[in-house]
Amino acid sequence: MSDPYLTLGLPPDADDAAVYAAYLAAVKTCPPERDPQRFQALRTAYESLRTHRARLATALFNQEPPTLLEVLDRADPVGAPRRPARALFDALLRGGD
Amino acid sequence: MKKSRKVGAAAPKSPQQSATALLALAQGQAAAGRWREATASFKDLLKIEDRPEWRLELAAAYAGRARELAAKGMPKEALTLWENRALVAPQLPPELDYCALLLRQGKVQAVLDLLARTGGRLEGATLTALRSHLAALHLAGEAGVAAGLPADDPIRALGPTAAAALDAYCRGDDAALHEALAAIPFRSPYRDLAQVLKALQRAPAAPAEAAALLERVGDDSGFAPLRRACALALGPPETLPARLADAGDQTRRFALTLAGWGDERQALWEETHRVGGTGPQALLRLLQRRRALLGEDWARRQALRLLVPGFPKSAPLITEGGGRRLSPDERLLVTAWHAEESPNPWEAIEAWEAYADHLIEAGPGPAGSDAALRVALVLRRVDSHRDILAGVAPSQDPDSPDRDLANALALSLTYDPDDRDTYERLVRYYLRGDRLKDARPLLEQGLKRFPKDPGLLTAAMDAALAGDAFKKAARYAHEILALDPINSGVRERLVKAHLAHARKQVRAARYDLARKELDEAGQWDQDGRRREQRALLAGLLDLIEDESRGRDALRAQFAALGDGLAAALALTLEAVAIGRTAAWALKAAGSGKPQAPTQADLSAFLARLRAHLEGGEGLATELQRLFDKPLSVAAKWPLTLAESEAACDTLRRAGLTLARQAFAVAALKRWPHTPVFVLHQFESRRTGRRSHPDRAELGQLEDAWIRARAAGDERTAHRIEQVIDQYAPPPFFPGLPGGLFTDGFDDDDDDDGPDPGQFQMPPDVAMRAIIEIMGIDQVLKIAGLSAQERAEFKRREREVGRARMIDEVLELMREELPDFGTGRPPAPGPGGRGAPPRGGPKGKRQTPRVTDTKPPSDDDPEQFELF
Repeated sequence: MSDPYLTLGLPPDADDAAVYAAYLAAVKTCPPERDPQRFQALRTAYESLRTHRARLATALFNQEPPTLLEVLDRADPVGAPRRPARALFDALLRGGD
Repeated sequence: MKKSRKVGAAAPKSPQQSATALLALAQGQAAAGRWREATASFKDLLKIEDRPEWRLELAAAYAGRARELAAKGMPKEALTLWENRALVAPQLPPELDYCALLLRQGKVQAVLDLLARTGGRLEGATLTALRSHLAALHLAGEAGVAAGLPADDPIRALGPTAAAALDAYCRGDDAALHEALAAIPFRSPYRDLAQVLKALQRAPAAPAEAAALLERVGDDSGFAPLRRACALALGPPETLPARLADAGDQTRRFALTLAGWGDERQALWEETHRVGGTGPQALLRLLQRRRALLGEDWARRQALRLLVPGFPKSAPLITEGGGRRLSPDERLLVTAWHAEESPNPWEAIEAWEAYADHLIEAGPGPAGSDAALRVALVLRRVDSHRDILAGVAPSQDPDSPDRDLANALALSLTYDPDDRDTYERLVRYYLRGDRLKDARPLLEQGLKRFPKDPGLLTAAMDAALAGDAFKKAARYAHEILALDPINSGVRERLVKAHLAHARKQVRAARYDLARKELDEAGQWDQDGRRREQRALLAGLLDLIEDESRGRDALRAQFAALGDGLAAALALTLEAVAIGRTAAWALKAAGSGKPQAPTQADLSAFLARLRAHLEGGEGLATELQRLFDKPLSVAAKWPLTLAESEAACDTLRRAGLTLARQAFAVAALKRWPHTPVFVLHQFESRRTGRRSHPDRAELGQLEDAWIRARAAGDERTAHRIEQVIDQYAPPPFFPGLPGGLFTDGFDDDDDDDGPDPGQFQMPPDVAMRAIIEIMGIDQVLKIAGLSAQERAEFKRREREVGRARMIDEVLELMREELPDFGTGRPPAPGPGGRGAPPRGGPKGKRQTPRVTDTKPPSDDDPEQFELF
């Protein structure tokens, strides 16, 4: 993911403490043994925002283009799994695709 | 006109023969899945003879074609073919696909009629699957199902329970869901629904268990579309959009909702797909259109990043997507981002320099402010991104970017003086080139800000050691050990520093101070790793002060070391280090001229020599002369291949040329044509010789190169390649205008210098001027001389002076380059390889830098451009 703020779910004005807290919380829900790839992404994001100097450098030098998913994350992040409404079930029970 | 019958043409086939051929054709088409052609062929066949088995085959072809059309989204045409199948073979029971198609078309009653008529002929599995389709429809509210079934049919009887389970799931009532699921028997037509709901209930905590439950629902079940949508939602979130690429609207909405996508997110995704995919242009448009939702700054920054590939041609995309034109700041930034993709570091250096200049012009604010930090970070960018200064020494090559980067880093400290790493990085860089004058102010500055930093203190200690300031080095070592008492590396360096200081004091005849240093070394040498050196040094000191006492001490020590060549090396290394001769020390120790070692002594000698060389010191010429011959004799010992290779390498590093040659020859006798030994043999033979090797020698080397490549020994192959390149046609000053040698020389490199016509001075005069500007060492380096050979020239220069040395170099050029001064290019060497062009992978600076912090020195090769 190109935007470390999105990875850690942080606002653009997050300070050192907020970055650390967000990293710890994210790692708790996604420890390295469960999802090493996700953990690495969290670690990379944390390193790029860890200090004020790092945050300035990220803003200056991060040139990775966004993906559609990142734009969507920014607009409306993925939430907890939701239960589809009965109407959606009925459409599929009727053989819809 | 009547056509004449062709001679030899086949006679018309009998009907029996035609039917056989047609049957084979039809069956082949059916086997290949060419249902349309197969139905036509079977129909033709039935016209010849109406056989029941051929009707069955036609029915199968109709079924195949019907499925094909249904898959293509042509349900009406598919139904027609299913009906044809029923007409041609009415005895066959209806197939599930046919029934499912009828149900999807809303023809529930037709299916119920079929079931009533032919249900008894259906296979059990087909009947179960068909009833699950009816159950799914009934659950979805299709009234026709209940109307056509008796009240006690399980589809109707269990319908309310299934509906209760589904509703309980949808409203999140897990207790009610559990209760309802328990009331659905295993053999119920709603069994698959129960599996799906159980899977959904378990999915958040146990995704693997949920997946296993979903797998129990077969593809022919009426609940299969529901199962597919759930399975798509439960995979990895990052690949969800890809998994849904071919899904229909209902499946996609269901899966996205289940995966936690909100309505806004789903709407944006649908919108992007409607307007043309996820390419850069589509994203640019999306960012622009939804900038209010995304945040103006964020959307703009992302839009800039999308412009990087293909910049500056891509710049108009931002306005085409509805965004405003790029500001000067944005243009410079995207240019720098784009330049980072180039393998030529100069592109990135110049682009970031331009951006730094722009930020500085805008007013960087006080040191340490955000604006100043940005300037500092930009100035450091190329080095931190490409990690250029980490392992290099200051280069004399004007095309090498390290000097510009070092200047940029030094400048960055003006804006961000609190970056510890930059101090250490720069200091280490200058220390690698023995540029102590450049390193010291940085150290001072850095230590003022970070007085307790072990890294900077270690760098300071190393700088002090490099400048022979042993007292200072010891002081820094004490400071480091006070901070980090178990730092064994520093302890070791401290011992070495005291020993070095002791040797310095001996050389200055301050023996009492030397003893003091030895005592200090002893106190810190807790693990006794330098005990032997300390004892030898103490013995030599004794010898100087009291010959008799010293002789006894040295003899005892020499005997303790084994009395052989290894002991002689240990002793003479110390003797030379205090400015005495090897012969003096050996005589005092009761040893004569060194003799050929035993195999064990040889191993000890090489190990000791290796340890000495790894300390960064070479072997004095006196010692090279002393040990070269006895070691040559030792080449007879039967070493392993690895030992021989290690021996040759150690001898190479020590400059023991004769011995190296002897070991290489001995190894080649045991392992003929081994590339690494061919290389050692060649190099040791060439050492000290100025003439070019003959074709046979170079041919052997090229063969060795081929064998090394074939054996995958890239390291040796690379080393051989470098040696061969040394003997390629001399690339004398490839960056220089060709007019120095000939009007036509280097005429394909117009950018390298001014018009050759202006260089009409005699070559000898021109070359003298070049040497004076560039310095003798740099000229010799460009001419391809090794560091060792250049060191000889330096020594000679110290003896005879610079002016005389330049005369000698010019004389050497006349000898080595017969065409020098004749206006013709130098003759090609037998290797036939040219030097790599300058400005190759590392490129060249395009424009001069005006903000360098350091003015160019007289020795700066860049001054060449003034020529």
